[in-house]
Amino acid sequence: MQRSLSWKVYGQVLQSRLFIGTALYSSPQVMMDAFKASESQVITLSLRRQTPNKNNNGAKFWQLIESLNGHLLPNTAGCYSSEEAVKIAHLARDLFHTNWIKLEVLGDSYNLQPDPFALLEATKILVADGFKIFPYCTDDLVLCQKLADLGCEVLMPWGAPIGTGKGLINIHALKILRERLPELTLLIDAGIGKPSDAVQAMEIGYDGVLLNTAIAESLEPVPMATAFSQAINAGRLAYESGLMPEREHAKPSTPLLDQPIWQQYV
Amino acid sequence: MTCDIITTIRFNGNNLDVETGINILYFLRQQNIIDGRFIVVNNNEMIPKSQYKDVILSMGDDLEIISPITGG
Repeated sequence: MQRSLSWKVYGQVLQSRLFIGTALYSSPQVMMDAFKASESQVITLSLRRQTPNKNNNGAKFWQLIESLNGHLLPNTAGCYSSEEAVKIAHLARDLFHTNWIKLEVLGDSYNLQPDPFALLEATKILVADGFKIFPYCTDDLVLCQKLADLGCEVLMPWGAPIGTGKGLINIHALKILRERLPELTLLIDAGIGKPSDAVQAMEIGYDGVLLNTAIAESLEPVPMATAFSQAINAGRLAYESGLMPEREHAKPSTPLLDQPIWQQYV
Repeated sequence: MTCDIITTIRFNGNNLDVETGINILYFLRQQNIIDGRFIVVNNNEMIPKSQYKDVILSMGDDLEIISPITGG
């Protein structure tokens, strides 16, 4: 039987569980090719004060993004207060014509850790303003519960700090989140370095992965995008298939019953 | 006596002298901002495209052109 790949995020039907960013690529063409190879349908991007005239790449970047025909997920990267994040979210909605927002409110410039208090404040305001929030958050259960209480259907806990490629550094907390918040869509955002990290996230039941640096800063981003796409499919299929229980001691896989010369070694 | 031919505004964070009495549409054409995806924000308020002709730039206005950029 053909396995269905369809799933929904805020009512939007998607086939791919990989969301990818558009930053850090060596060229716009590599970014385009990597996006296509990833089979992703959701593109993250941002906004800045910049004039899109013929003397810079602003207008060209937008043309490329439009040609990809993906769902846009603008971010509030670089915001350190709820006020800033709310303002940027509104500008993003006006600019990109979407109410999806990847809500980043940072609390520490050294490890780009989300500020949980400002994140909650901004979420409360933006939910009331009709936004569909994708909050970049830590793996703290209480924070995640409060975000859900405010109306977030999607949560995006970090695997590790942005751009570190360290993978899932607190897998215990991430598993607890999955167990305690079974109705929510959980995406790992940030910290993924290798396709095996993405497999691990999917195997423990996460619904998807958002990443950028791991593809963009690889030596060959286009095949790496394919590798991530396949990793996420493999991890999801494994999760849906049900992993075997882990045991402390060995258990033979070959039946021992009626083995010839069995008694010889007893 | 002050010269009223020039009006100084903030444009994307920098001071800029423009002709007094020009509207946003005229300003955008002057700056060669015609194509592409962008929004115009004046004094923290987004200006709809339909109002570009109606908004006259005034001394001290804080005008911003916001465009898409790459992001993760």
